[in-house]
Order: sequence, then structure tokens, then C-alpha cells
Amino acid sequence: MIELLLDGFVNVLVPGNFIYLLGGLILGVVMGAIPGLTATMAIALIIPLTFTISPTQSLIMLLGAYNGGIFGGSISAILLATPGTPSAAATVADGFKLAQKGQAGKAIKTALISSVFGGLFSSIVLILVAEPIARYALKFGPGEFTIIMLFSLTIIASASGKSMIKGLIGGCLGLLFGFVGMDPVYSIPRFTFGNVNLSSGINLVVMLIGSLAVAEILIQIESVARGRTNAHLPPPMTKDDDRLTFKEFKTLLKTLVRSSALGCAIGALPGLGPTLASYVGYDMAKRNSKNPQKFGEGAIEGVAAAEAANNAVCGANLIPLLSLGVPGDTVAAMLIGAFLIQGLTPGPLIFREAPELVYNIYSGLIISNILLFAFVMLTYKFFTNIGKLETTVIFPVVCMFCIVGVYAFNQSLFDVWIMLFFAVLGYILMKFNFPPATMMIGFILAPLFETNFRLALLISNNSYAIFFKSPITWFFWGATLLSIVTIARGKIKDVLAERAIDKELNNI
Amino acid sequence: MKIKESKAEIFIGLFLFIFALLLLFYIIPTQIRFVPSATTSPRLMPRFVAIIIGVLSLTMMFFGYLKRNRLNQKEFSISQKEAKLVILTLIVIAIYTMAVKYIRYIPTTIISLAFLMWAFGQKSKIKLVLISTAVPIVIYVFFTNFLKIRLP
Amino acid sequence: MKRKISLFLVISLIIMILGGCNNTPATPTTQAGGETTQAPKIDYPTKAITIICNYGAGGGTDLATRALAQAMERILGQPITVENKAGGSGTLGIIETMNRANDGYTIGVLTAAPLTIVPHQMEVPFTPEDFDYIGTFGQYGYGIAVKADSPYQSIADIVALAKASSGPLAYSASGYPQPFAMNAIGEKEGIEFTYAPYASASEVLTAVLGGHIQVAVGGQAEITQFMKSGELRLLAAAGESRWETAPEVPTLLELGYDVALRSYMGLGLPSGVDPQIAAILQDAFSKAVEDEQFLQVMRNMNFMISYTTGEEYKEFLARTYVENKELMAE
Repeated sequence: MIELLLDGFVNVLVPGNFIYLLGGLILGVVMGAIPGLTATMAIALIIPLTFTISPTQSLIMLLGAYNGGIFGGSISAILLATPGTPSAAATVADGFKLAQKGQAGKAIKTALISSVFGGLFSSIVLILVAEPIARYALKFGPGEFTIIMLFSLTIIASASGKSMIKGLIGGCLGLLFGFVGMDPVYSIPRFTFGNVNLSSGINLVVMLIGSLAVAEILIQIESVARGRTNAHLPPPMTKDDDRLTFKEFKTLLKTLVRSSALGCAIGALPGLGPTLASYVGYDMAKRNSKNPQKFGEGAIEGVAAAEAANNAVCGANLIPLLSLGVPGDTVAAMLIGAFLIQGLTPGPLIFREAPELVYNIYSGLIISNILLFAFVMLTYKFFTNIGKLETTVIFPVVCMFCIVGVYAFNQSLFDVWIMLFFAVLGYILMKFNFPPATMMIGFILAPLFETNFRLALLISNNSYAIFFKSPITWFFWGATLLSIVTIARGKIKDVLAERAIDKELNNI
Repeated sequence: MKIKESKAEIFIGLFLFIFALLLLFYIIPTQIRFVPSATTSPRLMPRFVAIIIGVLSLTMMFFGYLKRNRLNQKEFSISQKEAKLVILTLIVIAIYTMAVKYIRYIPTTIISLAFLMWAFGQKSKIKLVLISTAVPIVIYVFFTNFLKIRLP
Repeated sequence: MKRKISLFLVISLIIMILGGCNNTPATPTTQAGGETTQAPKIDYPTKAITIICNYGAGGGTDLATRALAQAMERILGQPITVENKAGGSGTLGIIETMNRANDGYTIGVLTAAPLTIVPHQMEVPFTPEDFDYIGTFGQYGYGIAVKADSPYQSIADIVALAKASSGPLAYSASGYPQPFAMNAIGEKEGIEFTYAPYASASEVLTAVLGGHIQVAVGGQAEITQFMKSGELRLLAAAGESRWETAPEVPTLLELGYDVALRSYMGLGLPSGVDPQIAAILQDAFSKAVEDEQFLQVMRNMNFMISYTTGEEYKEFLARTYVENKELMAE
């Protein structure tokens, strides 16, 4: 296998192929960084171009774009508080805070190293153990997924920060928005108010840009009104503000491994995707960290966890794709199309039909991560310079990018109105200290939870036993309970601490 | 304008509670057809969530009431100037979305950008004009020729 | 002097690159109205044409559309771009086509399901009558499949399984018209099935692979993929004829069930297009569906190629629209 892998490396590095990898990567990073254009869009654009090129060139270009795109989202998340792709939503909280402290360089480098780490981790997992993982992943049916989603819902509580009630309300609002669209089982419209445009639901990107990006811009505009017209991000104060020191890297190691593993697991399961992975990774890191209160205030651990997890999905969703021909998420489904155009069938046969292609893909993945590292390290100055732009320039321009990006998603002005709606809603929520992340998580989880729950009941003929049948469900029931217990304990500690402070104040 | 956190919580809680009631008794029944043979009704989850919101909003109101005399409360505030600028931006975006269909992409964006930059306090006329013309053109070219996406 | 030459070279290089990027073919091929007695009086096409695809980029329908667009580009001599307007189970793209100018420069991918099935599920602002059709270029094939290592060798085995189950047997499918197939079997054999809807064609099959569902009604493209790798067994073809890739498997019709699922990918225009333009398009279309590169892509993706003319398609849609109204009311 090592020989084949080395052959693969040589093949990918040949200039004729390499240029596709590089081109895809750069395109991905650029599109990922622009708010409103996503990695998925980049892939959708590239696929038609692959009709006439070789399978290797086509796939490494697509994978380079995916990897680059998922990383690229963090650039605008850090510099502009605008996630460039939905998968960077979890990076905004800490990333932007770091940038506001003048540590944008550190944040970007953390994101870069974490993304590369996650990408390499999942590539290695893919190469070594793809088949058994993929087979196991098949065992996850609607019953199992329901309990996984139940567990994920507890993340909403955990992500609520100081006010559990506000967080839960945010989550519920997100759930409600997630219900908009066609009912998954009976195909009747829900909450569409007669408007066909709503019948396929609200788009994640639109809601994200509206409630996270534009809303944050509106908050920043308040400070502009107060007269802040110079550079919108302070410059780095010390040399260290611009880099990630080796010491810091060592502290991140555990987080990186944990997040990458989570990202792999989530990527290998069909239907989940990098956005969920980044939120889960972030939450797990927060719970296991020695100083969880730093999360949300500029903890590099937060950035690292989110970015490692979401890039790990890139490699991981090839696991079911290559070993079984089953897509791990929408992007993988498009990749199947890319395979089919070339006349190849992803799945176990591909190892026999075109083994060199498979190893080219493996090498391509590894090299794209290394390339990403090199490329961004060389060009990041260009990105951090964006921080030097004046507020009066940057905010209107970013607004315009958001609008055009949202429009471009489905060529729909209606989406722009939805974005506006969520901008207002998000702004109000932010003003009153509701955590916006919980609304996003609720929104993502709503269809996943409900569809699987109802599907499971349909299959089992209304028998709730389906939720307790397999070891997988037991495991996740356990995880859910554990999660609730940890959250409850943390909450009780917080409340007691507050009471103590109150007592002090009242005694003064 | 200022408002103490506890008061805010009471109001928001009330608002959300009314919203939950609206959901349960008006919005859900009109928006979702009743499917008689359904084993798991399309209304099930939305109803469930609406009830949770109702409960949570009552809890919020309750805690807000309890906290009303706490000393170290947060205050939510917004000054007139800030509010004006925020609302102005929102209005500009709204008008932009309506106008862009009739006046095409490049002119509308140029005008909006220039206006916003001026409203935010950009003093240098050169920068204003330069950026508000260059950016829309670059975006337009990039999107239509490279990404093959039509802009209005 | 040297500077001027190098400046000239640079500029011409840039112009060449930009020109190359635009992908316009060199000269338009002659467009004969063909067999008509007089040459077309109008000059069409003179600029780029847009095809609006009502499914997402990178998906099966989209890829087939793009392959067709490339073939038609070669024939018509003007660039053809594909725009995606997905959503609403395929209706958003159709509505978009309906709302565009009928000058002949906007074509829409009008697939059968959103035209004949979705209107019975929700309010849509169109009926099949609102369009002029160019024709169909592909057919969605369907089949009934089970896991390859399961004991079910034929539909009769599934029927037996259903009868032996304590409750209705669940099957997976990704939307209409698939359930019509199982409904027909159920009606004839007097058994009930539960329709477990999955969001996409591949999820439908993954459920079977994972053992959560015993039988699926899936798309031909996806099932073929798994048949090749030996993971699924096809029990019956659900359309009107046997699959090219599985000639030994009978159709449901042959087995005695009164159902044949037919759904097509077709092209159409907003109604009221100049008949001469429509004629040119139909001619180009009929040539494009025979283009070798297009056929190769369709074969690679396991799509059935099916060419019918605009009128035939219109008739089919009108008929199916009425049929489905009754079927859906059940």
C-alpha cells in the first residue's frame, strides 16, 4: 500500500495535475472567505468543468476546493465576524474576539493549523480504516440517529452560556424555523404562508448570514455611530499576537485530536455535515477545558476545536463514499456525480476498477492540506491587512458582499428579504444577550431530529422499542444523560456562585 | 434608552408567551393541514416546541420578576445616534433589495455603498467615490463572467 | 520601441486569455430549418441562451442538463449557460422559467414530477398547459431492490414477507411517483405497506444496505451503481420496460401489476414563443440527443435516454396530471 501511495504522490505532483489541485484550493479559499459564497457552491461550480478533464484532475480539484473552502470560511469569521461558510459559524465567537484584541494573526494561524490537522487526521483515518468504518456507519438507522440528535440537542443547553433560559429559547426558535418547509413525511407545506419560495425551507446560509453576519455588523455599526471611524481591528501589539507559539500549540494538542476524531465520526455518518461538526467540536472542547469561561471571549481552543472538526469532515465524508458509494453529505453527493461523469462508480468496485485513482485521491487529500498550510502562511498578511481597513469602508462593503452572496445562492431576491428578517431578529437577540449560536444549532438539528424520529416510528410501526434496540442507541442514551448531568452540575455551580456574590453585595 | 435586565426579561417573556399561544392556537392550525391518517402528525413537533417556548417564557418572566431588585444587573441600552444609524442601514438594505430589480445591479450598489459610507462618516471624497464604484464593478464581473451567476 | 512592442504583446496576450475564457465557439454552424421549404426568416440564436435547471447543481438532472447544453451549444453555435434554481420539489425552477421572457433565449428543464405530482400536494401557480415543450431527453428509471444477501429473490417473496409481518411492511422511497408502484402491488395482493420517505435517492438505498428497511423503490441510476458492486439485488423494474443493465429482471407489468412509473426530464419554454424559434430549438434538440458525448455522459450516469417530441411530452403531461390527481387522492 505504501508503494501505491507513493505512486499517488508522484502522480498528484505532476504539474499537469498539480495545477488543478492548486487552482481548486485557491478557488475554494477565496469563495469560502467571501461571505455568502460557500464551499458547497464552489464545488457546484467546478463540477461542470470536470466533464472534459481526467478523473484524477477532477477529483483533486474538487477536494482541494472543499478543503480550502471550509478553511476559507474562518477567515471572514475571524476578521469580519461573518462566517464565510456555515461551517465557520462556531469560529466566529472566539475568532472575532481574538481579532478585536489585535490577535487576528494568531487566530488565523490557529484556524489554519487546526484545519490542516483535522484534514490530515481524517485523511489518514480514511486511508487506513475506511471500509470497516463505512460498514459500521450503515448500521446507523433512523432510530440511532434520533438519539444522536437528542444528544446534540443537549448541546443547545450547553452552548447557552450564562442564561440557560435564553439559550433554550433561542434553540426553540431555531427549531421552529427549521420546521418551515415541506413536511418530511407527508410532503405538505408547513409554515409557508402560501409562499412557494418558503416551501423548500429557509436556507442555512441565508439564515446564518442574516442572523450572525449582518446582525453583528449592525452591532458594530453602533460603535461607528459613536465615532469609531478608524481601522476596524486593532493592530497586533506584540509579536506573539501575530503568531501561534509552540507552547500554545502544545496546549491545543488534546483539543485538536478530540475535535478531529469527532469530525471524522460526524463526517462518516450520512447527513450531518461540517457545520454540526464544528458546533459539536466546540462544545466538547468547552466542556473538557480547564477554563471553559474563556470560551466565547477569545479562547484559541475554541477556534482550534471548531476548525479541526469541520475540516476533518472533508476527509471523513469520503469514507462512506469510496468504500460504499454512499454520500456523507451534500458535497459527497456531488462528488458522486463527478465520479459518474467520468464513468466510474464509487463504491467497493472502485478499488478494482481504478486503484490508482483512489490512491491519487488519498495523496491529493494529504497534499491539499500541506498546500493549504503553505499557501495561507505565505498570504495571510494580505488577509490580516483587511483588519486595517476603516470601519466606514469595510462595513458597507461587507454588507454588499453578504447581499450578493445570499442572492447568488439560489438567484433569489426573496432570500435577501429573508436575510434581512434574520438580520433584524439576530440583532434584537444579540442586543438582549440571547446567544445566536443556539438558534443556529436548533435550526440545523430540527429537520435531522424530527425526520429521523418520525421515520423511525413509521418503520417500527409506532413501536418506541426502535429507540432502544441497538448498542448504538444505548451508547447515545448514555451520552445524552451524561451530557444533561454535566450541564446541570455546571449550572448549579454557577447559580450558587451568583447567590454568593449577591449575598456579598447585599451585605456591603 | 435604557432598560434593566430584569424588566427586559419580563417583557420579552411576555412577548414570547403570547407568541407561543399564537403559535399553538392560530399559526399551527392554519399553516399545517390536518392529516387524519397520520401516525406521526406534521403538527406534532411544532406543537411540542410551541409548548416548550410557552413554558420557558413564563419561567423567564418569573425569574425576571424575582431579579427585579438585584443590584448588579446589566442594562441594555441604545443611544439615539446608534439607533438612527442602525435603522438607517436596515432601511437602505431594504430599499436596495426593492430597487435592484428595476435599476440594475451596478448603479444601485454604487449608490447604496456611497450613501452608507457617507452616513458612517467617511470623510475622504476620493475614497468614497473610488470604493463605491470599484467594488460593485469587481463583484459584477467576478460573478457574471467567472461564476456564471446572473445579477439583476 | 521595445517598450511599445512588449506593451502590445502583453495587451494582446490579455485579450487572448480573456477571449479564451469566454468559451465562445469559433463560427456558428449553419442552422438549417432543415427540411422545411423555406429558410428561417429570423436570425436565431444571436446571443447566449440560458437553461434553467430545476434541481441543484451537481445532481443527476443537473449533470444531464449540462451535458445536453454542451451538445446543443455545438449545434446552435451560441453559448448556453445552465442556471440552477432548485427547491420546492422542483417547482421553483419551473416557476422561474414561466416568469421569464418568451423570446426564446430562456429554456427551462421541465421534469414530469413537479408538473404532474406536486400540484396535487401544494399550491403552485402553473399547470402543464402553461408551457411550450421542446421534448424529453432522459427518463428517470425506477426499480424495486433489496439487499443482495437477503433471502428475497422476487416480488413474490416480498409479498410473502408482507403477509407474514405483524404490521404493514415498510419500504423506502424518495418521493412520488415511487409509492404508486407499491400501492399497485398492495392493491392486487391485498396487503398494506408503509411508505417511509427518505430525502434523497441514495439515502433510500442506504437504508436497505443498513438493514433498516427490507425493500426500496429507488432510482435506476443509484440502484445500478449498487448492483454493479454487488450490494443490491433488483427484483423488478418499475417502468414500462426492462432495464438495459438488467435484462433478466421482469417489469411489474409483466408480473401482473397494473403500474408503470414514468417520469421524464424534458425541456420547455414559457408559452408563446415564436413558432420559428421553437422549430429551430426542436431541431437542434433532436440532434443534440444523438450527440455522442451527451450519450456517453448519460450512459455513464446510468440514465435512460428517451427522446420524445414536444407535442408527445405535452400530451403525456396532461394525461398524467389528471391520472395522478386521482392516485394522489388515495
